[in-house]
Amino acid sequence: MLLQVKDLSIEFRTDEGTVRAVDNVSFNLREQEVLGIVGESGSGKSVTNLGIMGLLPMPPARITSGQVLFQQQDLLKLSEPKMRGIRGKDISMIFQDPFTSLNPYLKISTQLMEVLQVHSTMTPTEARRRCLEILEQLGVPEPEIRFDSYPHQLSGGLKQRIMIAMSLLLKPKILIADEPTTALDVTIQAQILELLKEINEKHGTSIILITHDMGVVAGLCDRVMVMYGGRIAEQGVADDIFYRTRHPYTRGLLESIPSVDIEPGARLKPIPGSPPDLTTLGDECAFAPRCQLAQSECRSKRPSLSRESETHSYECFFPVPVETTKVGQG
Amino acid sequence: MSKAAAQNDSLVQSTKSEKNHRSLWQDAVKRLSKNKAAVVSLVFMTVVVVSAVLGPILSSYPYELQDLDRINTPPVVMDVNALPDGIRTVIPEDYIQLGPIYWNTRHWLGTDELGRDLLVRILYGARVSLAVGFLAAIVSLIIGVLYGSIAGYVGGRLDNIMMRFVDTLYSLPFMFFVILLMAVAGRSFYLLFIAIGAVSWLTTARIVRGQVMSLKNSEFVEAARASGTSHLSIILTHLIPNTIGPIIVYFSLLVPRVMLEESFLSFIGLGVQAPMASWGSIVADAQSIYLFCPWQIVFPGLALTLTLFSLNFIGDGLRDALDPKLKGKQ
Repeated sequence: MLLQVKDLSIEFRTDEGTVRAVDNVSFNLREQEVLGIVGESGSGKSVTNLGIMGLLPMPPARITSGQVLFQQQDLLKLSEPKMRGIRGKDISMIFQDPFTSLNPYLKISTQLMEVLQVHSTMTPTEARRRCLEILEQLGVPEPEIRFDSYPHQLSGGLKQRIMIAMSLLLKPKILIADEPTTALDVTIQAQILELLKEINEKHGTSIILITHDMGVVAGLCDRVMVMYGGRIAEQGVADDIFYRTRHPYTRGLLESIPSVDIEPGARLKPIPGSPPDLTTLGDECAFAPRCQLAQSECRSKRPSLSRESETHSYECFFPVPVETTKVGQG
Repeated sequence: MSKAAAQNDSLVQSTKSEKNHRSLWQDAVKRLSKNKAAVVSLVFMTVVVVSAVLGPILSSYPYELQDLDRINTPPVVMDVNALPDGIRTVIPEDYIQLGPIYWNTRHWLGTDELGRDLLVRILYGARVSLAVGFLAAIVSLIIGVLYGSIAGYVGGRLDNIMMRFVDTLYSLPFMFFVILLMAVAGRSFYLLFIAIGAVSWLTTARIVRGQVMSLKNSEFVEAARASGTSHLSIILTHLIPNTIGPIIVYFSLLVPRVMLEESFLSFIGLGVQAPMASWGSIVADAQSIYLFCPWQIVFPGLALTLTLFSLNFIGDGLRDALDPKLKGKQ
């Protein structure tokens, strides 16, 4: 087990009340695995991962309980300088928007070499060689020219490749990709996903892929975790989620994917309602107000974790029966 | 691929690489050179600086040399043989006739009421005024940028304390403060920079704090943190370069303001002491007789005004030239 998250809870103190952004979340990341975290905006995907990285702004954020175990140490208890030594070296991160993730005033070379300067004692020549090597590996055309460019001189896809290069410079064990393709167009999106897959296979880097796109998950992930209202609604291997769906929310997500073989003029099936207000969410099922299968029990008590199989678990009192869930993939 | 297409491709690539090799500063110089007002001002400032340095060295009259036979000699007169009026002196051998006007060949810009050469005093005053202007502005810039960026980056309570301190200093009548400082600590030339610098960093600090606050949540800062960069180097390498645009603009406004303040202090007798000269003290010396000897107030005033004008134009040009986001929009 490479990374173990146990009972992680994160709260935000705001003027409107306390927001429980992550509520008792537990999951594991194995070596060489791609874990997908899916959920709509505000479901706690990004906050969970920022919590793991120790990048949450505190205050207003507060980690109220839980452990994040990585190499026999609890990352939540590490001091800031020690954590800094892990960030970028053992666990690195790529962000949603490559257009704003690079400093417009600094050359690509400065920004790439900065990572090496922080974590290693390489001489500038060695560092330069390493950077060019990784740019070449990631399929950046004419790496030497790009290396001396400024961010505004590169396209979005190239910028994301640079960001990925930056996160891979020190061969991290875990790569957290927070919606890495949201800001890119579809062809570039496919290239970047292909690249992530290649990195996973060639370097054996474990990847946590945060996304709200079920199609991306289907193509890339070994295991999938569906989050809703700061809780894990359902998790399992990709096939569990797509073919043996049990949680009504997961089914809703799958049904709302547009597909190419849909009848012309047919309507998509959205999930009715809107995401829960996390300031008022109490001890009940977060999805109950939008769920067609909900009963009175769902509104008074949070369902406990049910295990379907070795790999597959969900939080629901009245799960979707298995045979009705042969939904086509998007 | 046909041969022509290949050739075309390599052509495209070579123009591309030339473009990419241009650095931020080369770009800035190129854009600055297109700005006519800035170029003219830059030439003017160069002339001012060079003559401020060389003028007093080359001139045969030291700036403090009094020639009591030539008190208040005008630079031009209509008639060298007119009766002296008791205030101005005109010595006919000093003048040559060109057209209807007689020009002073001994003292090009005339003399002051102690018979000192006005041109040398203005050039010498340029040294003092420029030195005070730039040094005090740099002092205030260093204090303000560091103070503001720390307050803005750390935020929260520290920011509150630091900025309330700034507010408190703002509410002090600052000229009074400078005057008090100069009166208590003696009238040293160096104290002048420190006194002005120490009170004019407040606005810099506010501007930089605001900039840093809006930048510290940007994704490139988060990306830098995610790769393990320490807070100090985030401030120094990522945040401060991004505030350089507003800082340069403010600096270009600060230098003339400080020069005015120095002139004001010299004017009321707290700045440089006789026989040293600054533009302010030259004007101050002339205030009692400027109706009879307008050249004594016109020339130093003109020097001050033109210098302030060109500094403003240069600052304006630099701001446009240094902003990579404005690239190609002019």
